Amino acid sequence: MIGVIAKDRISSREGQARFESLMRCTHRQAYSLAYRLTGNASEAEDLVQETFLRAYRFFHKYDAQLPFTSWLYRIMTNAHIDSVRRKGRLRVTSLDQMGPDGAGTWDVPDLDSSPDRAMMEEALDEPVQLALTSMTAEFRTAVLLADVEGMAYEEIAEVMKTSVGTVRSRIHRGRKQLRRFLIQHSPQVIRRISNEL
Amino acid sequence: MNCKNAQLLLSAYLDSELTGSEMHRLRKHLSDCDCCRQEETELRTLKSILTDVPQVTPPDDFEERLCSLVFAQKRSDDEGWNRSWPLVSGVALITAALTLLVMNHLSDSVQTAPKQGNVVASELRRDQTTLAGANPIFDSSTSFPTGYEGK
Ligand SMILES: [Zn+2]
Repeated sequence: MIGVIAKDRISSREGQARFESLMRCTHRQAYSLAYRLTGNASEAEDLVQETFLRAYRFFHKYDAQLPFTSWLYRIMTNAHIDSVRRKGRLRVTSLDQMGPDGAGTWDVPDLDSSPDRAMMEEALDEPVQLALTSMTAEFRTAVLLADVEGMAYEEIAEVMKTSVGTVRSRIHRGRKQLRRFLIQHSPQVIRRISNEL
Repeated sequence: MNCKNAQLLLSAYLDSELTGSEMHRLRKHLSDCDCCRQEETELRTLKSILTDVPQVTPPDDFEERLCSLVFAQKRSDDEGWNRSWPLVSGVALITAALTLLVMNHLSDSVQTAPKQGNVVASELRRDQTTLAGANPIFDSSTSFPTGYEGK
């Protein structure tokens, strides 16, 4: 029994060192995804902290065969969707069910009052972030994992604990939500990109 | 393939996520249909907007704050990495001891109460499983005092 406890202590120290190096390597990428998911710096910090706390607590369950970020993002996206649900911000009504003008349920944040303007590196970035923030949480998550993180559908299905078919549909409907929002609120973004292509 | 079916496949097409036969049928439809080609162009534009979104950088002191938060939390935390395995082994040991006890008792009184012993043993097994099986990802009852959930 004493032998078992001593061995646990050693592996615990090794575990902490291993976790710390993984955390230092991935926290920037994790922060960026958290920012895209939540839409602001303070919620992004909270989400990253929550994610790494959960990850460290259950690090003994992490299967080192899988990429650490996949496991981490599963924890993060789940914490994010949980949090959105708790706050009642989840848009149960999808845009597809709305009227043809898309009116009624958008809460459009005031561009000028956003505190994070200085962080944005490109003029196009902020309207896109507003559009992302306006999306249904599950759609936003799937779209960000595909387009910003560059994950394959199978990996996204693994992260979101769902089927590849569901991922395919979330991404498709998510991009359509995003397009509708941009056309309605920031048509210049679409025009500018279209002209560049 | 009609336009509705074709448009449902367009996002996966742009992501190179269609099967061979789906892609073949979609391409055939696209070559004949202006509307769906237009839709393809628009979705391609949208995808490029997203793939070009810049990475957002955390504040300079974030990495150190994160490390001290995670490991400080850990030191004051009685559960998780440091303690969970000794805890589980402890429970396993107690379970084993109690099971032995129950079995001894049973062998003394096999005739009188064989059922009761099985119930106790299976309840102990269930407790042990519950302790060992807390889920990091989908157990929303697991909460941490970070302030994230409360906001
Ligand atoms: Zn068509």
